[in-house]
Amino acid sequence: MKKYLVKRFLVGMIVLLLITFLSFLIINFSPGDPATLYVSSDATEAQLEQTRENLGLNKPLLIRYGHWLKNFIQGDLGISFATRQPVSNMLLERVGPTFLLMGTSLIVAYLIAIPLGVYSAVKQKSWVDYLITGTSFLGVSIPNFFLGLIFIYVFAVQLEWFPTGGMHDLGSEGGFLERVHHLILPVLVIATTISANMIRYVRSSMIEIFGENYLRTAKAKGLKPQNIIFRHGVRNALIPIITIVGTDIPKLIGGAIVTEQIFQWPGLGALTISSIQARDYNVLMAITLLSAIAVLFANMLTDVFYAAADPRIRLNEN
Amino acid sequence: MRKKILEVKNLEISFQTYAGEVHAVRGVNFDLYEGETLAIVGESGSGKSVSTQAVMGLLGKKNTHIKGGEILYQGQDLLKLNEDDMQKVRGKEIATIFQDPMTSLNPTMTVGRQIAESIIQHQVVSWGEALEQAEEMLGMVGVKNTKSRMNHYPHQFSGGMRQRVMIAIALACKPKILIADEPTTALDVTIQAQILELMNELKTKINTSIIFITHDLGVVANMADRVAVMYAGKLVEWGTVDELFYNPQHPYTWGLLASMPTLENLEHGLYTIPGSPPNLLHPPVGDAFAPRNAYALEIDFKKEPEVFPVSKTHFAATWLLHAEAPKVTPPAEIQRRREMFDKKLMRREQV
Repeated sequence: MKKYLVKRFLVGMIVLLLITFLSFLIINFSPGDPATLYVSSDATEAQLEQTRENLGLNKPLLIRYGHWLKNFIQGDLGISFATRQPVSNMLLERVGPTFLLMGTSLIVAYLIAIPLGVYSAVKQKSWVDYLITGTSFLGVSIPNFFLGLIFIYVFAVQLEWFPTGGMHDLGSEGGFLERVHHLILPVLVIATTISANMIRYVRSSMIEIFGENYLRTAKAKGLKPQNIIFRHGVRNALIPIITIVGTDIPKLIGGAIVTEQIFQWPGLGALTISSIQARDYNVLMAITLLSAIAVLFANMLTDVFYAAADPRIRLNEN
Repeated sequence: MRKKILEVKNLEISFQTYAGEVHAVRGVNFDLYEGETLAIVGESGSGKSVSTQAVMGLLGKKNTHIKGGEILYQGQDLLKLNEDDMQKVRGKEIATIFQDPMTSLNPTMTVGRQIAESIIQHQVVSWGEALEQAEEMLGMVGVKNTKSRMNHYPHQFSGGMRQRVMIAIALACKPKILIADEPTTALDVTIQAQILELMNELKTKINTSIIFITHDLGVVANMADRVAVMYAGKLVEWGTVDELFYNPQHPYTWGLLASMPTLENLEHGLYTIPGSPPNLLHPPVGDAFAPRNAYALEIDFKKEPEVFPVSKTHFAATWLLHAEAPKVTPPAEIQRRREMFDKKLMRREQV
């Protein structure tokens, strides 16, 4: 297992390097000249050239990439064009809220999806099952941003149960309860989309397990139905689900960008949008890098969980 | 006379399918005595597994319909028990081994836990004691190094070893009846012999009765005290092993025996029963075997045969046994067997 993980880690490094190069190309080839954003509109060509030099944009692309890579390896992510602050400081400020939002959403999503999926499978073809699968179909169909707007309109504007956005009340440092209060709506939006999908996977995986011979064995032992379902059913049904959790992480990152924007959540998603608008190359590079690391890490974690859950695929045993 | 432990009376089971109602079991009667092995033989789809799964209450509720009959276990009708009471019977009083040991064990649970689980379900013991008993059971079914094997997962066992584990699970609570549903079909022949030997050994050790379902007549001869032959959802003939093998009466039993490879019939090739079993969506009138039966009488197509006694222990449902039926000459293989049977009887009388 250790050997396998080291290998995965090394491969991950190479993938990461390729990702930085490709994103560097894409970001720099995208239309718009950052220099024009930082001088007055009547600036002369000489002033523009001076700005480009200040921003380090006047050198050839490959040399700039090499420069960026060298700094990155030394732990320096550069300076933001827009704020003139070190990029790493900006990221650190934003990572916390995003992790809070994503982590809570994931946990809430699975807490909703697994019991409902299992219940739906147990009560297959009953009205409860139809209700659950129907609702989940609806959840899959509604885009994140639209659901977010509906939630804001209904729960924040009309019912005034929750704030429309932000992480804490204006002018307040925010206590724990206040944080939770602000968290509920965005978490619900993200969790709805993820769990809607997950419910269907859990349900079908569970139904497949019901046909397995070892469930008949469990019944023949005289076990109680709940023991059959949980001890023998759920554990085996969740193994294929682990793969899906791995693919949820990238989806979550994408979804968070939109949801954070709608709820003015001061996380990485909001930073992404603003740095795209500002052509803030260094910040964009850092965010891309961070997402790539998150995805690679999630994949690796998936493998570890997989091995933990299924004894048949534990590698290098004994 | 030994005590009857299980009586199945007039059991009728059908399945609801999209095509209609399939009459899988159409009035089955059999008894099981304490300490005996009863073999139920018949081809695929004859209703052997369905009948015994009904005994365990393992048939799905949704599209299975038990239309009638009684399953009396020590005088108590199992069909009338509610689910809670049935759970106390399953695994404790009546246990079962299934055909496919490769998929019948939970792949993510250690073997030790899978055995101990059934012990803790039915006995008032601590988890530690249950594990101890489970380890003992594992040794009893012939698994070596029980201490480390307890913590192994099913994929670390071979097919034969997994079937041993299945037997350990089934016998963990010392059940009165063991239903073995083609337990050796998925195993190769040498392993098959080992498993059968183990079952015979444990049968006397634990004093359990066995219902042995198979379509392998060679296995029947080694295992069973009595045999019941099933065809199209009905028992067509039953008796002791000797009676069935050497003095068969039903033309279907003749067919089965004639198609069994023996040293004598090697030269002229194996016999096959022509045709295929009837579609139980529309069960035939008369004898279900009649269309495939070279000895069929006219009445076979019109009226279902009654059950005629051949001896105190031997019964067959064929019109050939009726007093007015014409005398027919069974196939050569069967005549040879009858001669052996007569000799045996004579020898017994001389003793």
